[in-house]
Amino acid sequence: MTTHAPPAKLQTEQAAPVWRLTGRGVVARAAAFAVLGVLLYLPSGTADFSRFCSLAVIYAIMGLSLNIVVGYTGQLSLGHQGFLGLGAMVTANVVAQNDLPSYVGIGLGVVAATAVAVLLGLVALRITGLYLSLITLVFGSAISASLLSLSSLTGNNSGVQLKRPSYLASNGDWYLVCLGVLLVVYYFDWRLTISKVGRALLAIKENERVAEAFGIGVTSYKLLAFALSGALAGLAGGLYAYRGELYSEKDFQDPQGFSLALLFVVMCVVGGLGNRLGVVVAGAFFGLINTLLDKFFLWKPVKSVAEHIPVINGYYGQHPAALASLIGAALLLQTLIFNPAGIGGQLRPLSRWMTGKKFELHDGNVESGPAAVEGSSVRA
Amino acid sequence: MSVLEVRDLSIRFGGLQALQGLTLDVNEFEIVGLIGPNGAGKTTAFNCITGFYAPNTGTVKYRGEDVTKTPPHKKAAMGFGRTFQNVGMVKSATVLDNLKTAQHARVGYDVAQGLFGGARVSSEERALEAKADAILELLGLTEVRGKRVGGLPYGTLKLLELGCALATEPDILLLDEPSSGMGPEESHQLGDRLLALRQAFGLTMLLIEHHVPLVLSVCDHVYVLNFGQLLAEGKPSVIQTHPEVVAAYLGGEAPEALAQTHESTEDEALDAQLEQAVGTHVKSPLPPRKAPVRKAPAKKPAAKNAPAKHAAAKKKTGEEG
Repeated sequence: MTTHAPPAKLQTEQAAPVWRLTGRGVVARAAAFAVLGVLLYLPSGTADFSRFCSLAVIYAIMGLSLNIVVGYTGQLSLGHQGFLGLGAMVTANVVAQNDLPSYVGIGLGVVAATAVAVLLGLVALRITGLYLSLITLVFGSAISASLLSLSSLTGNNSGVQLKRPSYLASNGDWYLVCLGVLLVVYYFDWRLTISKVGRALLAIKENERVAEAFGIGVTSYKLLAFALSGALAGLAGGLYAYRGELYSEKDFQDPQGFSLALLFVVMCVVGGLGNRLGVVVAGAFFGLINTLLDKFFLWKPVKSVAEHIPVINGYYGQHPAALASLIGAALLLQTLIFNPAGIGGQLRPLSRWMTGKKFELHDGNVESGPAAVEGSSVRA
Repeated sequence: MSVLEVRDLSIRFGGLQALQGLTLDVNEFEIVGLIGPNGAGKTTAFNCITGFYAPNTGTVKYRGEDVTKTPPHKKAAMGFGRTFQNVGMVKSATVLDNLKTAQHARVGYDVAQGLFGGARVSSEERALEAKADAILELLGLTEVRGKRVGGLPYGTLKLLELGCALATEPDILLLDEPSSGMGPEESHQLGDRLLALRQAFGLTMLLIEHHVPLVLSVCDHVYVLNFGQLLAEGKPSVIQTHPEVVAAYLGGEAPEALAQTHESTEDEALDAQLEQAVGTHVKSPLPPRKAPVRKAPAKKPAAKNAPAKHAAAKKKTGEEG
């Protein structure tokens, strides 16, 4: 007996180490949150940059909106610019023509986008896969070509002017409003995933029959997903209209409209389908990339070099968005092949640490990856 | 008291008459087997009963209520728990999340409350988790609690699927080949488990099964389907020697085929094992069929009496363990 190792030791080896949040850990995390908060707050002090940052935040909200449909429910939508535009149009027109407060306009934009999203959801109940993508694609184009540009609604072709309320007049103020909205949306998105709603949507995404056997009403939850997604997109649209203080249907009409729709999907995939934080980061990144490239190429040292390289100079000079699209495509490919969990997967150790868990590069559970959308898969 | 009453169920897929006039009864606390060769229409019958298919003719009654056209998720809420031939679970989610998902219809908060959060939602979520843990413990699968379902072996999955069906707090459990992917030893254990579960949860079961020893050991009554039609019904021991049934399974002349199956030494050994098991276990707590069984209140909502059942179950497992 005595020659053998004591069994107690064996047990401690097998048992998972219990890990607790220490006082130092709390301080470190609080500091990390403070730094993050300051970083997010800083742009509000600038007049120019904060304008682009609000676009980044609006894209992040759009990312979360599309993520509900694509990431959580597994239905590919290529028409989300339609909801964004609808929210912007209703907000702009309601406020401009009736002299109502801004939040009423935004609220009505949300209502309109939600209603139309439910209609699209009704279609999605009958059609899945490639055909659904096609329907949403046509929906996005059609809505921006018709509803958004009705001149009886928009008054004239140059769009609708609208003024932010006087207490939120500066770009920086509006950026903070957008940021606040994003935080609220983020909270509800988090609640969605940890409540029965998120579990139901995941079950529907994977196997509708199993979902039904578990007592989940597939019809109502699919509609709910579309409604929530539409609501968020409408909200983003309202913020978008106020950001530029001008509603112009051209922003949402093809070809810009279609590039937007594609960009939203790319944002979701690069961020990591179904991964909230990743989608927000990717949304912010794609919202800012044009501005950042712009600043980069206008930066003295780079500019002086780039001017002498004919390809870059000519290419970049004429098509300022081309480089951004190229970067987007490259990121998409690398995500699909090497990094299926997306930005969110890469950030996971950090986000886990921030929410009070131990910092670990591998938490043992591999993310499911982009094969999440119906009928799509990647073999590397 | 008939829990499930299926009358004259027929369904046709294009040129294929998948079911033709199926009539069957499942009484309270019975385990009823539905057997038949491949393609006989067993799973189709399940899908009609649980509402996944709309039958062309016929009715399905659950405790006297016509539920032929009730959609599957509502049936799940009424107390129909089912498993699938190929494991029906959410593969990318963890075992724990699957068991929580399966309790969907029993969750005590609505969508808006879930989105806003709060003390009530948190306590409900904790209750779901506790129940999931209780089920895992009951099935002896506590160690896979945090694992993703996708990577688990098939036998474990079949058992977990049974756990998920239990988590829906069923009144009647419809199991589609619960022993597929299991060896003789495991399926023997499964038989004991099903009997124990019936005792513990007061369940009624309808099961599709290919594994004959399992059917013999657990079923109180067996229906045999062939080419979508009811071929025979009766006690398992009677069905086993029913010439038409044997012919349907093996082809050829019935009596000879029957003789062959009985000469198989392997089967005899298994039968002996099973008899022993059945002897030690209470095979059926039921009086013979057709005699009036315990009366259940006519329209009790399944959700309300279910927690009591589970409390009883916990007590029972506690005693056993």
